[in-house]
Amino acid sequence: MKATILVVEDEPGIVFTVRFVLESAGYSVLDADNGDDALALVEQNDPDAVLLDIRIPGTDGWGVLEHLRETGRLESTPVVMLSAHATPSTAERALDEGASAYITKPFDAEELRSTLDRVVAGSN
Amino acid sequence: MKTAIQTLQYVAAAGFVLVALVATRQWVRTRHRRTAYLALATLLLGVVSVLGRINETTDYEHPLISDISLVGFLGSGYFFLMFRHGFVPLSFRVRLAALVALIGTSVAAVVVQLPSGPDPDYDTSESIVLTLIVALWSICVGEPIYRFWKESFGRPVVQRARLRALSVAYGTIIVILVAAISIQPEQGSIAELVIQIAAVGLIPLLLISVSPPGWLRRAWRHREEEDLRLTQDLLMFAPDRGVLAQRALQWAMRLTGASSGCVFGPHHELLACVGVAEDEIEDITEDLTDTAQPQMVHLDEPAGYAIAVPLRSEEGTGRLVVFSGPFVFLFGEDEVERLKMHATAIGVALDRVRLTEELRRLDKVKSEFISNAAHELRTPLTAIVGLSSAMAMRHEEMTKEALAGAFDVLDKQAQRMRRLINDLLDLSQIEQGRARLELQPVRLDSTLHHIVDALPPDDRDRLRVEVQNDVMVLADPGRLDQVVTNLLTNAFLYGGQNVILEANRDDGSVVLTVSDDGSGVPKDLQSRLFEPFVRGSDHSEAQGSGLGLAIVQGLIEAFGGSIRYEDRDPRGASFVVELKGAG
Repeated sequence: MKATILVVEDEPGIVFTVRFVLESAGYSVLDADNGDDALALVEQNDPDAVLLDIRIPGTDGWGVLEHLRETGRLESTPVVMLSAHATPSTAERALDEGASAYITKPFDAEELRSTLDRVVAGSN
Repeated sequence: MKTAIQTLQYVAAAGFVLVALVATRQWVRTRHRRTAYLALATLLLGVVSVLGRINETTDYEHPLISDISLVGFLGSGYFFLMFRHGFVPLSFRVRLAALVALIGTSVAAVVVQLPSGPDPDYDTSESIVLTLIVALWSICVGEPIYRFWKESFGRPVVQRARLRALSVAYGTIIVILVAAISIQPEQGSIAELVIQIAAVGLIPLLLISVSPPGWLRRAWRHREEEDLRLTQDLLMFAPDRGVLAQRALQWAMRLTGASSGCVFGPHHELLACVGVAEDEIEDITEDLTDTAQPQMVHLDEPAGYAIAVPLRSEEGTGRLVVFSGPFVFLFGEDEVERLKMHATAIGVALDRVRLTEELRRLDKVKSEFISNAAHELRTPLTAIVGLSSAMAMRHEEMTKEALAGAFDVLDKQAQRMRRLINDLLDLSQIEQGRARLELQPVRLDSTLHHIVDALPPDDRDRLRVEVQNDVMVLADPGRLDQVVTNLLTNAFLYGGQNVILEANRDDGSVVLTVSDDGSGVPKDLQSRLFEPFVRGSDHSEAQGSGLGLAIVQGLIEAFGGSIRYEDRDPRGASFVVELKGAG
């Protein structure tokens, strides 16, 4: 059974890239372009991990992360934060608030794949 | 000897009348209840002194005069107490008790009919009444001496001096009256003459402490002036306008002894405020209409007087306002002049601070611009790095269709990045005035028709063109094309179904309008619309750099024109470009 990753990102070019990389690595990929759709998709499809951009329309990445943490979802659905904010403090905050990993844009295929492999393996 | 003392007593009586006149004049100017009490108190004392002289010259033949004198005397005590109440409030019970005691004693005095004339003999009841009169009056006038002095501690120099002067004034009144009561001219001795001379000599002191003249107020200010000179640097090098205004206001208040005040910037914005609630300021300042001239106006209690002086800076004219409070209740021309000087120095400091603030703001804008540009570049770069690294590793296992799709996205993202970099360079050159523009008369109508002809047919069907013939504008032809194309592209992308392109002559200029019937630009976005990287929330479909309107504005301004956004009636967006006409 393929592991499912939910990608939350509003840039179509990046969604395409992530889908391209992860599908070729054997994952099944869902996507949402805003925080509210993302939360609904988590409930409906119970993905194995969420790749979450911070700067998205509606409820932003931090809001989605908080909601997942407060509903206890994070236990079974690890989150990898994705952002162009390349500051150590953002990475630190992401980990503090319960994310399992943090990736800075731009990232290469290997980095994305290995991070998700690790996170998905860790939660199972 | 007797004549000398008598003459001096006449002078003392005249002195009281003079003080009463000064107080009355002050009351006429201020119309404050407090000043009215002072006027009444001194007037009564003046009347009592004059009646005393009349009584003496008529050999005490009219008991009525004695009665009036006594009531007037006790009345003056009451009004002195009420004057003091105007500065440091007394409770209602204390005031009522004082009033009852004074009326009771007055009635008793009239009933008992104190003997008058030189060397009167008092029986027991008369002695009691006399003691009561003296005790009551002494409390009414004596207590404020202590109270004013005590209140003066811990206050700024000018207010402190004012309160101590009042304390001295009350003390003077007692000394003069004690002298007047205790001296019987019939048995005049040298000692009594000396006391009488001293008492008369105190009248000028009473006069200036009740109504301090300009030179005295300048002297009080002297120490503050010294301190201000020492700290002038702190004013000049304040970090921002708020801090500067706050410091300047505190000094203005110290120099004048004011109790409250406020500072307004050139656009009537409140920069600093002390001792006044912000919502009261509108009411208080509505009388201060003329902003260009120093102004002194009389306000209702409790504010009293206000002085407003213009604060001139390069940005415009603001103003500094101080309000008199209970302790310093009278300003004069002297204070107005001093504040005017103070305001000139503050104006210079304001200009300096504005420059610093502007530099700081520009620095922030620049940093934000760089951070935004980096963020914008990162998005296509992420796709390019991600896809190319994936393809480099696994292109052998990928289907032809997958590779074709990836190449397509790679190409789009690379183009996007190129556009963004071109726009960044373009904007930076326009902003530095280094864009090579060839301004010349351009036929706007034919330029517009060429642009419209080159549009894809789908877009052309949505467009209505209303352009006057033979319209000439001053512009760079290629860049004008860029401007119009950008505005039309925005309208087709973000606007409604129908787009209108208009161009009309208007006096010496030409107005070009691109409008649509879409949902218009959200209110919160309108003020920042022409700033770099400002976009609506639904921009993800569009591949613009976020710099289009910033470049358009930069170019139009380089042509000597202007661009603004207007909401279209009943709905939609409208970009109005004004260009210089030519020929």
